[in-house]
Amino acid sequence: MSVRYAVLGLLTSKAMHGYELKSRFDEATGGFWQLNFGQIYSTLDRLEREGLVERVVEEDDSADRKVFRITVKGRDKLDDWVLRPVAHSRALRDDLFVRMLFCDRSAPEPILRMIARQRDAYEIEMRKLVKRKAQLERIDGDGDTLMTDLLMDAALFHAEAELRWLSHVEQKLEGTWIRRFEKRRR
Amino acid sequence: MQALAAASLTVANGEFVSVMGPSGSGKSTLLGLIAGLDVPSSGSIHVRGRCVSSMSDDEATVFRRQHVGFVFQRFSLLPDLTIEENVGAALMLDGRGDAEIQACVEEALRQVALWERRRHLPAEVSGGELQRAAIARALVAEPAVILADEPTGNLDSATGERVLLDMRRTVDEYGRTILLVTHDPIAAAYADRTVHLRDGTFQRSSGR
Repeated sequence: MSVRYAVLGLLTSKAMHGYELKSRFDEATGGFWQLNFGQIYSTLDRLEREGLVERVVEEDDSADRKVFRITVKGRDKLDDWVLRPVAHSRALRDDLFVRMLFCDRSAPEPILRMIARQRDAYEIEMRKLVKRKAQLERIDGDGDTLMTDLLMDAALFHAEAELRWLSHVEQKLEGTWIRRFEKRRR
Repeated sequence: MQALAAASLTVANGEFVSVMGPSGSGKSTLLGLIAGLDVPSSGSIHVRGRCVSSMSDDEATVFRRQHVGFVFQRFSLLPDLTIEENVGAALMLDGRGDAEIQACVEEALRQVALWERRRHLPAEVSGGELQRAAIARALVAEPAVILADEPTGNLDSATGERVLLDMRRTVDEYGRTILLVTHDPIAAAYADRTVHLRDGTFQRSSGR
């Protein structure tokens, strides 16, 4: 969903061709979310069919320099979407939870190992995010990188929330296993 | 009852290491041992080649003043001294000359971008600036290591970020060594690596 709106959003500043859309998108998302040209062009085609963007015809138009600009309908649709609140927490459709669901639950070790590995993975990711933030802070002149910085922060806070959940899971599972073990002993 | 058992940790010069662990894991004991404020019941602590754990109280006090910088959760600057006086206080105790003290204080305050605020009293600056002043004070004597105990614990997230970025910069651009104790995984991510302390032992480590 947000790829369409990201493309519309980028086109509000000026008409662009696919190459510029990709590089501006990559830059805005701090290098953490890259689109490929296939996604961009198929998105542009769909948006054009819906009347939200239109092709700009240039005199020296060559086959691969298709420039697109946003239409009035496109601007309205974007404004609408920007102000619409997000319906539900993304966490309810979580990969990690599905993994946990199908982990061997007869013994605690596999899940605890999985949790430990997930923690390490988050630590590495968070370190990368912070490093990128520090780089952006050094090069930032006019606050151009604020949005990207905020995106890094979103990722950091999400990771922190996941880590808290993992601790919580460990505590609850350990509690359950202890009770199960004690029941068997009686 | 052992707070830290079979614990072994090496921090290299110019490294930024974070230590994470739940309360009761021995984090505060660890800092106290490195600073020579506590004596281990077994094992030893070495800082820059000196054996801290076998120093007398007097030796440890001097050593601490010259080679260890502290940043605590609560700001702990003297309320009646200006920022620059607070930063230079420990240098005066070591009997350094005025010109040298002035130069060191300026260098330290510039590292945390507080030189412009040097003549203010602690009550006149924000929480984040106070904490940055504390960092300046911690690094003014060019210590072997800066020990930070939850430095962002009392700050809001945006202010805490500023403090952490300043700490990162003192390592990246000025070669400082920092050991940061925290329970906050985001703060820990500013370090080069994270060591986990649990039930008195170092358990996992991730990092560069």
